[in-house]
Amino acid sequence: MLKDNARGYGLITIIVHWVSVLAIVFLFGLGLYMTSLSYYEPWYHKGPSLHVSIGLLLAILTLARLLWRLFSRSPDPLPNHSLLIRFAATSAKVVLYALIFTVLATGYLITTAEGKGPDIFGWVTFPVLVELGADNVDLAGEIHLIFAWAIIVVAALHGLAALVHHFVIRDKTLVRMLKPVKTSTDSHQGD
Amino acid sequence: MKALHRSLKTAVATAVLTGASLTSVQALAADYVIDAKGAHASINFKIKHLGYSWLTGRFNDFSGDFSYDPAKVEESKIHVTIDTTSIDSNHAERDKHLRGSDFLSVDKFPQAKFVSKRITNVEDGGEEFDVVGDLTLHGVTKEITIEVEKVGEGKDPWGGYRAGFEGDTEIRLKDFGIDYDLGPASQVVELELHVEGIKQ
Repeated sequence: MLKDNARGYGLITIIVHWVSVLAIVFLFGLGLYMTSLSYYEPWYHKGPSLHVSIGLLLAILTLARLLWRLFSRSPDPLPNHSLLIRFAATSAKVVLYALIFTVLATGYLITTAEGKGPDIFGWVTFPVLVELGADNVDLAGEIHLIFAWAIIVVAALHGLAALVHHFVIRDKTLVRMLKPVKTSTDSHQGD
Repeated sequence: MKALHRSLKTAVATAVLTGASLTSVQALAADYVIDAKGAHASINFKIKHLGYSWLTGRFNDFSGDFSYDPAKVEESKIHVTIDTTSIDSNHAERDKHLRGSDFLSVDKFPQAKFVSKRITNVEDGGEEFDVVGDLTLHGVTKEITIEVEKVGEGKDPWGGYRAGFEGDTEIRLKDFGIDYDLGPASQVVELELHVEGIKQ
């Protein structure tokens, strides 16, 4: 129920996946909104501090997720999936992980440039590992924005592919990410 | 042969005269290099925050030189180049914002510079004067006046000779094409310059 096995994903993977989706979409929208605000808007300061806090929480979740992925058995591909589909699906996942990691890392680096660590809602302050110079901070900012857009584009394709699998090909691809797999050795394949 | 000898003589005389006049020009006004390396100079700014307090910051990297002779203050000259990417208000995200297109656009305008044109209002036996010159900031060149006060000059303990000044001026951000709205109380930036030069 909790863990993944050969036939599908467990509850932990599923919850982490969908919480990440919500956090990423929220951070993307908030990021665009807050950088467009003028100085006298009420969200001028609230926006960035919420963005940083949620971003750091997502960073912790993503690190935990990568560890979880490392020690979990990935479900076998569905038998009807061709090599090409498997390759496309795996590439999208790898690219998404890489993009998410880069956007989280550059976001963190923007905040630490002058020796002060970012904090999560004032509860925990993160340590400063690197202090980038002005040029590199600005570069980090550009990468942060471009890669954030790339995440949205690749994630949209990834989501669209899931919908095609569900409604057109009519296989279990999407259902596997919604319904936790049973732990029993029960080989019932339907649901 | 005689002609050659005469022309040689003329050439030598010209060279000697030219050399002499060059050295005399140098002797007129001492040339100083601003001691940015030893950080005995700073370019600070302050701007009202909402009208309730002052936000202060500085430019960390700049270079420059000046000529100054207490006997001929009105012939003084100064030239300063500022690395705009070095803006520092002690806040990473704000500095990133200040470097960006809302303010300094440092990718397009990585340097600001000030070139003096004349000295006016010399007072107090040359201890106080105004430096009028062109400030180029954000790609816009505009004449500004810096009120200068001499702090002191003399030998330093390491075999050199130094002279130091402080200067104040203010600029309207809009005059230099920076029109991000910080509110009605924050239209003007005050610049405070501390300059110590080492005689060359």
